[in-house]
Amino acid sequence: MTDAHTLIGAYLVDAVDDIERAEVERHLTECADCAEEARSLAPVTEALAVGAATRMPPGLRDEVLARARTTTQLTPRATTRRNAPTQRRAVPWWSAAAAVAAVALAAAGIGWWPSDDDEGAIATDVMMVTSAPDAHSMDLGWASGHVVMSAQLDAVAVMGAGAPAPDDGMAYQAWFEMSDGTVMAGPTFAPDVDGGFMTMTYADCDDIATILITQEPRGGSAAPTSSPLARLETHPA
Amino acid sequence: MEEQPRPRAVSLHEPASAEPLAESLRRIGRGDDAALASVIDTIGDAVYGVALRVVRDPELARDVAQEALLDVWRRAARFDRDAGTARSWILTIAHRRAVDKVRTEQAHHDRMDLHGSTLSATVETQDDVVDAAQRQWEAARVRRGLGGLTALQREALELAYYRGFTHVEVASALGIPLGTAKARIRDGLIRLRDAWEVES
Repeated sequence: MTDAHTLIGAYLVDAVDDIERAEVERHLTECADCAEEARSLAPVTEALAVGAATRMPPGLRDEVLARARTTTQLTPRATTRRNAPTQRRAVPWWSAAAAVAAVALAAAGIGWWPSDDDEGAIATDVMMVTSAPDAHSMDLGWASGHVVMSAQLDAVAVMGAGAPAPDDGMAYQAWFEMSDGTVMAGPTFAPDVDGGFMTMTYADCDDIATILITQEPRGGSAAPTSSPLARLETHPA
Repeated sequence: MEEQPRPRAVSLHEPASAEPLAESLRRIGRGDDAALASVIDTIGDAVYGVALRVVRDPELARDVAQEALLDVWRRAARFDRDAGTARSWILTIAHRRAVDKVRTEQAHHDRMDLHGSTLSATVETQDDVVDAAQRQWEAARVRRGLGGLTALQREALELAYYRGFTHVEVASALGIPLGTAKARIRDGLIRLRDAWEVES
């Protein structure tokens, strides 16, 4: 297809379609010269954007904050963790917006790396926790599940094989009750058709006193809205 | 607004970034919505301003800005500090959302209509401009930079960056070959980079 070298400029101003964007991003992981050119030109588009600053309309800030409270977040990639057992090649942050491109390429029958596919990333992140040298596992007492914690990584994974499908429009959510009693919202997750599930998040393992699972509206809640389905007293590593 | 329990700050072994925005993204990645508020206060006007320049309609721009900031919330943990600045990451999300919006919302022929398009970097209405010295300086810097480009480079960048045209549409609108459109965009960016490096 088109020569990715010549598209660097267009790519940086988003004057490309999703397929071209994915090709350029893949090329940038393979070509040091183009990666360097992109790096040196990125501040230019940054300055164009900053120069366009215009006062936000009233209420926009509060709307965003309100919606964020019920919006789930992606977990970090294994590559950005200093203690990851294997390092993948550093990925330019431009690929953070590649989800649309991945869908387009999947439709065209082309696979590419890196993929921003959430499920694959979650499995990798969970494996990172379970393979940590100090990983220790505890029976969750629900859904044939268990919890794996690594104090070294400050990471907690929750997984299992037998979760029932949540109610319509709902998902499961993990919670961490800390030693001072505050309850921290954890990730939401849903089982696949066979009841299997897995999720992970970063948290201060030494400080977690209890892990809870509840059912919440899909998208998650800021605080539990129903009684726990599972309650696991954890102990500092 | 009700008080939400703050997520526990995780004891980290990573050094704090020299860039405050990157530090905020790190905290957002851990679910800290106070850090999101801080990011909005720091860069929300640029996010909205980019959206407004591209989609032109204030209501659409508001939607784009909201979705872009929520994208920042969703994806903050994926930001890789080694690959670029936090500010650049956030504003790229904003610009891409604006460009996607304008490409899906507007009929192709509407976008290709260049009548009345402004080929300079001046902001549409003075009333909208935040009257702060820093903002004025940044806007002036962009105007100076664009003023230093050739007319051909400037018009290519105007259509691509500020109007959301693909390079194919730029070529078509200006009646030039694809290669020329790509080269003008690239050369314009290089020229801006060199001009601003000299300035700083």
